[in-house]
Amino acid sequence: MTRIKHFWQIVAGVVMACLSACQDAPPREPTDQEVLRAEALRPASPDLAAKYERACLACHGVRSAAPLTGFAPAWAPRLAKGADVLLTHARDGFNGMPAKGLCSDCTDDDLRGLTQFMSQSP
Amino acid sequence: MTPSDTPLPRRQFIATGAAATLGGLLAQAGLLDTAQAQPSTAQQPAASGLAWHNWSGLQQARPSSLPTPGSEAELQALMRSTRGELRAYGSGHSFTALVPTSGAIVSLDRLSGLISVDKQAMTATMHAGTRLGMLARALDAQGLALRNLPDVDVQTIAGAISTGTHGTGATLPALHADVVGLRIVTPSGNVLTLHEDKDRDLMAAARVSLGSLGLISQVTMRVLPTYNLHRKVWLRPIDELLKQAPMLADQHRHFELYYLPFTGYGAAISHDVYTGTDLLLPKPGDDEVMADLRLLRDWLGHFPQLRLWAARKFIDGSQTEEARHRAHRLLTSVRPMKFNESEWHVPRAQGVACLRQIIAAIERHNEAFFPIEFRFIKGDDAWLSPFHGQDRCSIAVHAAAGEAHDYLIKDCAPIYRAHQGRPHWGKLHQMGAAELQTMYPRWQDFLAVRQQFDPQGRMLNAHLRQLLFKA
Repeated sequence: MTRIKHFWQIVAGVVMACLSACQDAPPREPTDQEVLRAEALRPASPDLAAKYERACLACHGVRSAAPLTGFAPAWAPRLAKGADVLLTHARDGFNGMPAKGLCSDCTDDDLRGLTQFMSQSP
Repeated sequence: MTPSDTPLPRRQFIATGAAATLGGLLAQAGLLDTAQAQPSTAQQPAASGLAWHNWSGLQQARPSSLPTPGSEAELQALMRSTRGELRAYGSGHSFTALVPTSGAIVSLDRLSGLISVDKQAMTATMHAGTRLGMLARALDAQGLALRNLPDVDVQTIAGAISTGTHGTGATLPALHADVVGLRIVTPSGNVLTLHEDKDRDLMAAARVSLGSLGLISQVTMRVLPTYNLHRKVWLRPIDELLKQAPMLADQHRHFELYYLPFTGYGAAISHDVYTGTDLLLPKPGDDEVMADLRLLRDWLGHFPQLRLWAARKFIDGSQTEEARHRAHRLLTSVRPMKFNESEWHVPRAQGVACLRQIIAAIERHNEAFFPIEFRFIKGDDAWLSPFHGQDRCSIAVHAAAGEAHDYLIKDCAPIYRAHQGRPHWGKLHQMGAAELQTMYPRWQDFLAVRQQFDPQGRMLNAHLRQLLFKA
């Protein structure tokens, strides 16, 4: 019995050690104020604003796993991949994001413009 | 809209918006805050050509066209100018094959926005493709709100009502019960205006129609003055929660619970109307729990007893979490991890007993890690509403996209059926007309209305024909 208990303690210790090792440094999380600000931001172009409001805002204008509109810390690692990669991911979907990001009538230019709007600091 | 293009190392899906707070609790508990998430393996769409797939990637189609009409007139023109099958989609959040067709797949994306509000009648009229989150924000700007929301808010209002989508709350019916009027473009291209005061039977058919009557262009809903909610989340051993669940459902405006497989623990989540001014959005990082539960599965899945022991050792049942804000900011969440799901609705009196059996069935599969959802929904009178004539509890089981999910259907369906369950129209099930017609007392009445609207069957794809006609 003691041996079994000891074994489990070792396993638990290994689990904890590995979990710690796997931890990466997360970017700063947005504050409540930054989240509410993001919800109110819109692109200057009326056409893009309409598309943004009915599609992108659902995930990027609220606290979620998607990078928050206007919140630079979340966008920096994405922007580092380059505009072409971002466009491909936006068009084809990536992780939790659906293809074309819920905007079935968005063109590639729309996707580029919307990505640029969301990734820039207000 | 824009890419979540970095693998999401710190965030993963939680079973519902409210359950998104579980992550915070488990994170505080120590073990479960250090997970490395795995990106979804959901299938990617074709790079070119006409292709459609649902959100999870499970349902795919190669349609002849993918029109995006921007007005009711364009819907009429579409109906009149095309031949063959035609199916509408909102957000692709149905896991069943409601949409796939080799004919036209119609996007509602451009039919979006609030049209008008009537503060005397307390109703709001919106385009059919308005997503629930956008609708909630637009209503909020007018001092109004929906009575309840489901846990995902990217769905369009037409898609949500047409599949019987619901939130939780023992006194709160599914969304479609608050529909007072509809405008439907019929397969002949005409516009039919329905109102519950003058078209009682047609409305009973049209509230939940699986998109089989035509293309809904506008929806008018009952609304409430805007309100805030106070969320409380707490963890308890599941046996304790199951004993309290019926009482808690009666005590709170919204109550739901989640069983965390192979932990012995459940999370209870309540929301009640809040009139204070010290508002607080849900905490960041709350949606990490799925990655943590997945990690436990990945590492200890072959050792269920060890997995249970590890989870129990590090879950602190004394932890609670709260949020206080607008209802729509608390009741829904974004789901960054794709999954497939089966959900059935059983009579409320049988809810807890059914859930116990579902938990046992799921825990026969070491690969399971998604929380099992348990919610309460008030009955209504729509003919194809899973809540027709009776208050029900919904029990939902999930598997990550790309992982096996057959067992969710095969192992659980006999249990649900033994408890007089009805499947969610948008969640995975294998029921056909032979079974379904025994579950719905107004089944034949619905079929008669459908025949009247669409005698040529243009709105039916293979899945709908199996649901409605095949034995």
